[in-house]
Amino acid sequence: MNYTSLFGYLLGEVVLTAAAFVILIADVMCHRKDDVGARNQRMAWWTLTGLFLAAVVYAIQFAQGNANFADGTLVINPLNLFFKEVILVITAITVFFSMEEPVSKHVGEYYAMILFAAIGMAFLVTSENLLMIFVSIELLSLSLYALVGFQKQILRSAEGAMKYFAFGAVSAAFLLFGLSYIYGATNSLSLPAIAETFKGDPLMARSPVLLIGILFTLVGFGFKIAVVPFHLWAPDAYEGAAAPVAGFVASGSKVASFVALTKFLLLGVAPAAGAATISFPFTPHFTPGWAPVIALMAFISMVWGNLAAITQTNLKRLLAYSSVAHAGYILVALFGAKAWGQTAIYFYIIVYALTNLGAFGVVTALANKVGGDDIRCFAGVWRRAPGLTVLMMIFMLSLAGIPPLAGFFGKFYLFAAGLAADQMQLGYLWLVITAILMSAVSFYYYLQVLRVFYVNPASRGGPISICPCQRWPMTVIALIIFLIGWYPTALLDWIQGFLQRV
Amino acid sequence: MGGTSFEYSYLLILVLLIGSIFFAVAPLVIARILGPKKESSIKNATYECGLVSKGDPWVQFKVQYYIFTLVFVIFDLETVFLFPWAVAFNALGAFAFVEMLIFIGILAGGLLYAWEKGVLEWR
Amino acid sequence: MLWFVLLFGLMTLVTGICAISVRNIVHCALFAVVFFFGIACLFFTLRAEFLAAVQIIVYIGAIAILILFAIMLTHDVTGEAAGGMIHVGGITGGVVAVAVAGSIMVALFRESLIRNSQSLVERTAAAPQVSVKTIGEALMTPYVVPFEVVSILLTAALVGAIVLALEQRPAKKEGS
Repeated sequence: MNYTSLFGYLLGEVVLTAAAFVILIADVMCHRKDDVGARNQRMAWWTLTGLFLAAVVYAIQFAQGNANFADGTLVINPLNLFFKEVILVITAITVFFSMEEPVSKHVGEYYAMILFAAIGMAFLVTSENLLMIFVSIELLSLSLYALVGFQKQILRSAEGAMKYFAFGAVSAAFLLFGLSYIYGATNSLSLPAIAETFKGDPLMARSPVLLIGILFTLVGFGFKIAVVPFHLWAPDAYEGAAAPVAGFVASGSKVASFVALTKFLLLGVAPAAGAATISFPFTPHFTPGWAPVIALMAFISMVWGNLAAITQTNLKRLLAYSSVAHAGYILVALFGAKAWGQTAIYFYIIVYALTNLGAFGVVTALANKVGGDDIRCFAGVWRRAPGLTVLMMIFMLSLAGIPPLAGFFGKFYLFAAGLAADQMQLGYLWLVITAILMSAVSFYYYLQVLRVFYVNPASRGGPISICPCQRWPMTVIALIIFLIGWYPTALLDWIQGFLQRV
Repeated sequence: MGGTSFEYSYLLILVLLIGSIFFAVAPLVIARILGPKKESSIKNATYECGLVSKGDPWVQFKVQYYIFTLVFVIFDLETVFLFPWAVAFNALGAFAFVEMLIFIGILAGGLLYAWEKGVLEWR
Repeated sequence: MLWFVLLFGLMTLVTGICAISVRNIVHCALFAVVFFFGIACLFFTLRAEFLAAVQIIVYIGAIAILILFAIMLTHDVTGEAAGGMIHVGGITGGVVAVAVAGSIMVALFRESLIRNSQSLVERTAAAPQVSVKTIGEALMTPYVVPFEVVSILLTAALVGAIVLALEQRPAKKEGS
């Protein structure tokens, strides 16, 4: 084993870790006496420097060849590097959002925890090993629990963190238990090696021990991606967390978890899929495996997420339920043919994460100035912050999936992948129809939010000034959503190209 | 019992366990059986002499106890990783040493932070 | 050996149930200690000596102390009577627990049917005995990346816990 090259592969994460420690210790040692706002800005720039350096390292690694270190604990290929870059971008935008106003007086810890979470995400998208996946999910979750609870003076924040933590702890136990069963059944930890065992052993695909392991693992993943019935933490955690943190949980953590879940299911245990198809004159056909579980979770998430979102009066809770619904849409594509399904999921998760981050950015920028994050507080914001309202319109319409925007093509690819599943026998048509119907339902609440922003009579107050550190990242996100909407094939070709070079 | 040498090697611990439980429980039981019992309200008071205690004896402790234990748990977990490293050290060579240095270094960074934050000061 | 497994299993089960049903939370914590010890004993019977030692060092040596100190921070140790376990949450939890346990048992049983009565236990019994040295070598050689990530994880836990716990309590002061 070559330790020097290992260090080279890990350099990006090493940079992030070093940045986290420098921030953590510099803030508490050198800047303790300074004003909180000034410290916040200084530490934010340090964080951004660290993120930028790591991004440069990953960019250089693109040019080098693929590598697979020790049983898939560290897999370097263009796809993984691309997702690491996406995570760095999401983290950087989160940092920009938190720049104007410190989330808490523990500034250094805040940015260090964001970096720790980013390290966890980076490891999560880059590993194809069950042990590594578990450890990085834990690093990610632990940092996020703390981040959600950072505003301790607010009871809501403490409650959100507590619920997030309690659910997270139980689901981590399920995840670890499931992974141990998978290891017990297949005697290997790396996903490609697990896939190999199916070839040698025809009984493996319906081994009950393996299936129960997969089931429990899906409970753990279901918590991370917040699908029904493991979504209960999401509304409270999103509502309690500071808006930038909520955006970070809703985007960065989702990207990393979905990439890991997709790899786990399609790369590792694909032969144990089973089936949950309903062919034309209503003849359901079930075979045990992960497909029925995923289909059920997708179905309930789409229905429940969208219906519950309608009744919400708090914008962050509404976004939480909408994210539950979106997680359901994404699961539909898991049934697609391997390459096509993967492409659709990767495409959508990037678009979705950026859009959601933008929506939470609008909440960050406005919530304090309009007096809360209830939807009614945003009444008539159109007159007070016209630019931001236009951005919000773009984000909401993209989440709803209105044609010229990226969200539409994302959903289109997802549902197309769902249709192409089951060897073109339309076995998962029932899921796709649910998804399309529920997307139509989701128009209602997204447009309802926009109606409040635009039509409802304005509350008192003059124009709202938005910090450039929030305005510019949001504008860039909106532009990206527009560009992907105009040239969806560009991103699609990119992802497909990366997938071929895996 | 059908055990192998593995089980028998732990038999001693089991014997020790039973022995220690016996030595703890036996005096209590013997005292209960042999001791004469003459109960009165004065004898049953919390303090046979002195003032009668007032209020709830339960007080809320300082949060610092908790933070100290937290730090302790973290470094207790570190020893768990140190132990197999130490056992396998001879077979592994210099890089294992560097790996453990990094591991401890990262945790020491956390400790340095806690120190500077003033967590370790008793207030 | 089987008798020991049953004995330790029963001990774990009973103390586990006590730990969640007793009203005084100090007693709950003490039952949890015995519960952790039962788990450690079960690890011994599975021949995972290192794991058993870790279980005792970490859970009884550290986590139990942490739980006790956390209890010391609370205002009151005996809450209202929970009204037994017969309420909506208790019943749902019970059903889920039974379902989880049942599905595991059914899976293990059916696994041995599929594999021509060669049970999972027999197959795993053939695995080589894992010594502390093997664990050390595995941690240092193939699994060095997760090993180092664990140190970041522990530091993140330390920092997060300090931030969440280290807050000046509101002016209301009692005792100490």
